[in-house]
Amino acid sequence: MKHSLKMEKYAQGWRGRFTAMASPCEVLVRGLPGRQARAVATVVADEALRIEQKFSRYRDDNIMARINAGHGDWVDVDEETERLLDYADTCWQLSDGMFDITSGVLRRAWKFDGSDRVPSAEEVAQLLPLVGWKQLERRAGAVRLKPGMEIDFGGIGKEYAVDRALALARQQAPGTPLLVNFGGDIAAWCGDAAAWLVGLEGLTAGAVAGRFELRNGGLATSGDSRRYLLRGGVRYSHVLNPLTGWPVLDGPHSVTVAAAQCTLAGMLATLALLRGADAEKFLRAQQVPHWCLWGEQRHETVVG
Amino acid sequence: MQLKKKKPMLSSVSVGNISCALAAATCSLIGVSAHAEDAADGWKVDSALLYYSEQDRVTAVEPVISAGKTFTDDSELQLKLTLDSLTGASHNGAMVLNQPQTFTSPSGSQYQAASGEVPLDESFKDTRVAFNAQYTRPWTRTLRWTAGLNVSNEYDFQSFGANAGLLWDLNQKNTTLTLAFAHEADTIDAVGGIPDPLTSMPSPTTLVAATTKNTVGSSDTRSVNDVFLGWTQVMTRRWIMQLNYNLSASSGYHNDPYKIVTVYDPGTTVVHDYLYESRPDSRTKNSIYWENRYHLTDDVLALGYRYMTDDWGVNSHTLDASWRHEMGNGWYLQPHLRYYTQSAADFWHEYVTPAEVAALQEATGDYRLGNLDDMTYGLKFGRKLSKGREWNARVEMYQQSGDTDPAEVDALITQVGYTFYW
Repeated sequence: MKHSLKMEKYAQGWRGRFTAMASPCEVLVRGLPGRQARAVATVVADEALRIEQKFSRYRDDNIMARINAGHGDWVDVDEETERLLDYADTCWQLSDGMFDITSGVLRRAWKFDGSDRVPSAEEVAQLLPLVGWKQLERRAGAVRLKPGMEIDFGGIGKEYAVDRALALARQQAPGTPLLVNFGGDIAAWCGDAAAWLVGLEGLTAGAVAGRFELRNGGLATSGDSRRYLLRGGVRYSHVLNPLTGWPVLDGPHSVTVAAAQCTLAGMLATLALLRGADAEKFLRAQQVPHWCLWGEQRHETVVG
Repeated sequence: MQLKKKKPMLSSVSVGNISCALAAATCSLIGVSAHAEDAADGWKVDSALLYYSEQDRVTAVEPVISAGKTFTDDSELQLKLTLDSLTGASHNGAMVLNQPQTFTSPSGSQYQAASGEVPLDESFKDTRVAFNAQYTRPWTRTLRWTAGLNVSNEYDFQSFGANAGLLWDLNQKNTTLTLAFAHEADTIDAVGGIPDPLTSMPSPTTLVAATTKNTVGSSDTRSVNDVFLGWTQVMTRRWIMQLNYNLSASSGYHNDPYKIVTVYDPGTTVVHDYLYESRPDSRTKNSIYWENRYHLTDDVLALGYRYMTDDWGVNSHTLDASWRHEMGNGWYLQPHLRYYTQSAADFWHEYVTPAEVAALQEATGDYRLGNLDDMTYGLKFGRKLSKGREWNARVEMYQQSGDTDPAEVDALITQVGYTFYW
């Protein structure tokens, strides 16, 4: 597959860099010679591009485009897409409807570009009939949407790609310490070798918001640092409540969670954001390591 | 405004723990759980060829192949096949003298040791095949059971063993306690028959001229029972410790049917006789083993100590240290040092005097039961390759010394190994 993979040596091993899913991506490989490290990184980059091409909502030639252009007809879906739909269903149920992969149509009214263009209540209300996971019909191997409805795997896809890429890389190089990082969403494996050091560094003050050792698991961040509207002193987060069509207020700007897989961490972070002011209470109940940023802080995930 | 109206509803959503349900869903989404993935790795095969060479004595070539697999139900199977081919000369137990000596080999032919030379039986030759299988399986959430079989065969020795045990994980798997039992049944088929202990080996150069070997049948047996208690503890994130206790009780035939002890009069320097050795018919060994592994950033330090004491009067101490140094690019270097010291068995003698013979119950001249000090200096290096493959090579120098010349043994150990997944 065509990708921009570049290998570079760093203190502990090899780092492969490429761009996918509109994010800078990297894969870290310890203890392998360069040629084999490149083979591992190639597996990771190939998988990232495969998932991007298959599930990106910005393409018109993939399964997402076919489903969303179904005009009320049944559309055949493959096994992998079914698994993602199953997962979306579980998340919808566990979040009492707050996580909903049909809520993307609300972006027709909400353009989170840092401006003050907050839509009218009527604009939002007109879109609400097109939102709602339970309006999507499924049968084995096929799915049907109401005309005008859309689904997207925006809240799952990148984290899923991270976990898949790590699993494939581990098959390519069993026993080798590996870390996959797609724009701050991370999955790592180190066996019983030295852990990976991950830092969550504040960009503004240079302060370290969190620093910990990642052995075998995932880390993901959900946030709205760069995607919001500001009007009348109210910051409208890009995290939309699918039940109201309006942003969740009073929540943290960014949530980072560590869990067994990147996908699990990402979903817990997203569900926490949807809880608004209760985000930390929710995360404490999940008993997972987490970091919430409130106010105007921003952070960046750094690995080594 | 709509936003305000709806807000209480958000907070009314229960804040329960959903991470377990979500974790299960995540596993089925990704399609591979961590364990299933290991199973997909297939059989891990370790192959090695070892060459052991004592100066002027035994040479051994030993190919070993072992294979292990973890199945999707978390059970593990380990298989190991060892072949040993030994040739060369072995000390027959007699003392070194400043006079020529003549001995009778087990098959009945005669061989000599020149004045001042260690008496060596040149006909030493053996091929051993050994097979081990060990299966471990989760039983409850914290208990695992394990069972194993081992079979070993040489032309004059057969061994059959079985073991079973329980492993108990505690304290979030930071502690593992092990209790295991093992039983082994051995059969010794001596070439030329089992010699009657403390009777003469025919020799033309001794004062007492026995002409035939007294035998007590062609084979004998021995059984060994073991109890094993183990404690493995994760002390810190970097330090893991293991403490084991082993009780081993054996009964039956413990002699080496080819070994003799010299009856020698130091006053007259006359060799009166060579007697086939006689060891007790039981042995009880107690040993403890303490191992520490410390993970530095990439390197691993290992330090082990073993103490063994038995009712034959043998006490031994072993110190073993290794440092695995990661050199980058998959290369590693591992220096190894081992020190071993042992005190002699109560019935070990360089020789016995004619006056002692009448009351003699037990006697051996085998240097392996005498005082010994061993040092091993080793260096292993290897390289990890992709798909879990690795090759490595090891060179070790072994230096042994004791109270007598036969115990002075220098050996060179070289080994090449290759690991792969199949």
